[in-house]
Amino acid sequence: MKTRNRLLVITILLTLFICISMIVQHIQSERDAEETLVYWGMYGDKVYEIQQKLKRWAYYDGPIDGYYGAGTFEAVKKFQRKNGLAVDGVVGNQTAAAMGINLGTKTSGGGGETPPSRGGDRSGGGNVYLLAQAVHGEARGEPYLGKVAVAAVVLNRVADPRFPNTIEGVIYQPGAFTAVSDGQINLAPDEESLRAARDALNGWDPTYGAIYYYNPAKATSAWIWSRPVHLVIGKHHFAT
Amino acid sequence: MSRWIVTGLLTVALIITGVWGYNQYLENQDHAIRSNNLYKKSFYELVGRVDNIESGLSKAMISGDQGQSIVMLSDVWRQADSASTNLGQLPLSHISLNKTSKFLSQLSDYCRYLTIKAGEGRPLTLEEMKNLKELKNSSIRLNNELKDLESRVNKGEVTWKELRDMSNESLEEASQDLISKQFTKIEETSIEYPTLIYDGPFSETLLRPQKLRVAGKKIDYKAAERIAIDFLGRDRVKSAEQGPETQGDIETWGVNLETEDGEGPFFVAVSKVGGKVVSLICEGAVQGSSMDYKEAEKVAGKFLEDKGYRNMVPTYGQHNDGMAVFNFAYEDGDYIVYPDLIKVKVSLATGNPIGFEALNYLMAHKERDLKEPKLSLEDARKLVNRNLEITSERLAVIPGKSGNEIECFEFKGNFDNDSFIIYINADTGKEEDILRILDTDNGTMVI
Repeated sequence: MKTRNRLLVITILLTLFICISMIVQHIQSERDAEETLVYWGMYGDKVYEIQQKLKRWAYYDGPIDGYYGAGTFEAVKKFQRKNGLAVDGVVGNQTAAAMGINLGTKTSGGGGETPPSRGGDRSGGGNVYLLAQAVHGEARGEPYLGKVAVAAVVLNRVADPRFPNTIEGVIYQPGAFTAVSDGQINLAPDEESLRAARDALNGWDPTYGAIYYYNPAKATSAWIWSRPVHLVIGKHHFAT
Repeated sequence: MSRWIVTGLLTVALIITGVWGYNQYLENQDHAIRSNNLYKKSFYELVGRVDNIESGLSKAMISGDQGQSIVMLSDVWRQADSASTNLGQLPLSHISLNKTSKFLSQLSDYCRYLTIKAGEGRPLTLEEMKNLKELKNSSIRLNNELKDLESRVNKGEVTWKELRDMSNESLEEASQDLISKQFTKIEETSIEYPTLIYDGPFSETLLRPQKLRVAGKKIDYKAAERIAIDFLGRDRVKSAEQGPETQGDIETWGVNLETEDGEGPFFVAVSKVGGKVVSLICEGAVQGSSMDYKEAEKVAGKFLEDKGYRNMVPTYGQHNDGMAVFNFAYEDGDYIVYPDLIKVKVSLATGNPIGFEALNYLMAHKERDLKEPKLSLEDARKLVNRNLEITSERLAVIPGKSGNEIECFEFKGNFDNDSFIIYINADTGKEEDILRILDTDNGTMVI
C-alpha cells in the first residue's frame, strides 16, 4: 500500500512538473516573440528616440544621430544603474518602459535593409546572405565544392524559365528546398557558406548548369531518378 | 483525506493541460488559416492575371495602331511576369508547374521583345503574328483550366494545406492530389506553344545546351591529373587524388590537390577533350591582406600569360574577405571581346592566384572576322545622349541576349554623379545596351 501511495505521489508530481514546464515554455516563447531589443550597432527611429530621452535627462551627451554606438551604450548603462534595472546596455522591454518608449515596431539591423527590387541580376549584400543561408541549410557537412554547387543550382534556376526569376523566388518556392520547409534556412550561415555563395555569384559553377540535386539515400520520387546525373559531390547528385 | 488532495491535484493538472492544448490548437488553426490565405491570394492573382493576358493578347492582335499595340504588349509582358511570380508561390511540386512556368516566362519575355521591336517602329512579321495567335490559344486553354480549378477550390473540395502536407512527403504522392493533378493535366494536354526564336534571354536558341569549343584528343584521368598539377605548379603540389567528374554537355575530370605550403586544398576541373583547365577552386579560407589590390591585378595578369592566355585585358575587379576577383576579356585588334571572359581570383594574404574560371572563354572563343565598322567613331558619338560626359571610347564585341555577338562602340562616361557605359551598334547605330556602374566598397572598374 505504501509503495503504491509513493508511486501515486511521484506520478502526480511528474504530471504537475510537465504541466508547469509547458506553461512556462509557452509564456517564454510568447515573450521571445514579442520582445524587441535595441542594442549596439543598430540604427533607426527607436535609437533616435532613446538618444533624445537620454540627452534630455542628461545621461547622454553625444550626437543624436540614430546610431547605437559606444556613447549610447554607456548612457543606457548609466540609466539602467540609476533606475535599478539589469545593467546590460541593451534596451529591452523593461528599460524601454522605464524610459516611456514603446518598442512595438522593429528597428533595422546593423547592415541596413536591402531595398526590394526586381530581376535576378543584382548582387547586393542581402542576396549573398540569403544564398549563403540556403547553402548552409542545404549542404552543411558537404565538401566546399558541394556548397558552391548548391549555390550554383539556385542561380541556374533563376536563369531558367521553368523556375521563378529571382533568388528569393527560387529559394522560397514552396517545397523546393527541404531547408526552407523545416526552417533550417533561418540559421546564421557560417563563413564557408558565405564564401561558397560569393564564389557562385562570381560565376564559379562546378555543375555547369545543373538545376536539380538530390540525395539518393533520401530521395523518394521516381521522377528525380530519371534526370540525367552529371556530377556527384559528397552525398548529392546533380542533374539537369 | 489524501485521496481528496490527489484528486484535486490531478483535476487541476488536467484542466491546465486542457487549456494549454486548446491554446495550441487555436494557434495552429490560426497559422493554417493564414498560410492558406496566402496561397489563395497567390492563386486568385494568378487566375486574374492569366485572364488579363488572354484579353491583352487578343487586343494586341487586332489593334491597328502601333502605339496602342505597344501598350497592350507591354501590359501582357507585365501580367505574365507577375503571373509567374504567383505561380512560384503555390505549394505545388515543380514537376506539375514545369511547363506552365516556362510558358509564362517565355510569354513575358516574348512580349517584351515585341514591345521593344514595335517601339523601334518595326511592324510585326507574319511569323510573329502566328506565334501570338498560338500563344493566345494556349493562354485560353490555361485560363479555362484555371477557372475550372478555381471553382473546385471554391467548393472546398480541396484545401492548400492538405496539398502542402502531401507535397512534403514525396513528389509522386503529391501528384495524386486534386489540385496537383489538375496542374499536371494542364501540363500534359493544354500547353503547346510555338518554338520562340527571338532576341531574348529565354529564347529556344539559348536553351539548347552549349558545348566547349575545344578541339583535341580525349584524355584519361592520369593525363588530366598531370595537367592540373602543372597548372598549380609542380613544386607546390604535395598530393593529388581524383575528385568528382562531370558528364553531359561539358565533360571534365576533377582533381583534388593538396599543397606543400598548406594553402588550399584546391579543386581543378580539366576538360576531357583537349585537356584544358576549365576551373580552379580554392576550398580553404584566406585570412588577412598583405597585398595591395593593384599588385594583385598584376599577379592575375601574369598568371594568365603564364598559362598561355595572351591579349587578355582586365575589365573589372572586386575584393572582399582577403580575396580579389578580376575579370579579363580577350583583345582582338581594336575590339575588346567581352564574351571571351576569364576570371582570376587572387589571395591578398599570400599573393597567390587561388581561383580560375574559363568556362565562358572556352565556350565562346573562336577566330573572329571583325571588320571595319560601317559607322565612324564621330557618327557613333553623335548618337550618344549629349548629357553624358564621355571619358573613354573604343570598339567592343558584346554578348547579345540570345547568345549572339554584337559589334559595338563602347562609350564610358559620367552623368549626374553616376557612371555609365553605353553600347552603340557599330553597323546600325542602334543603342544596344546601357550599363550603370555601381561603385560598391569592394568593386571597382579597372579600366
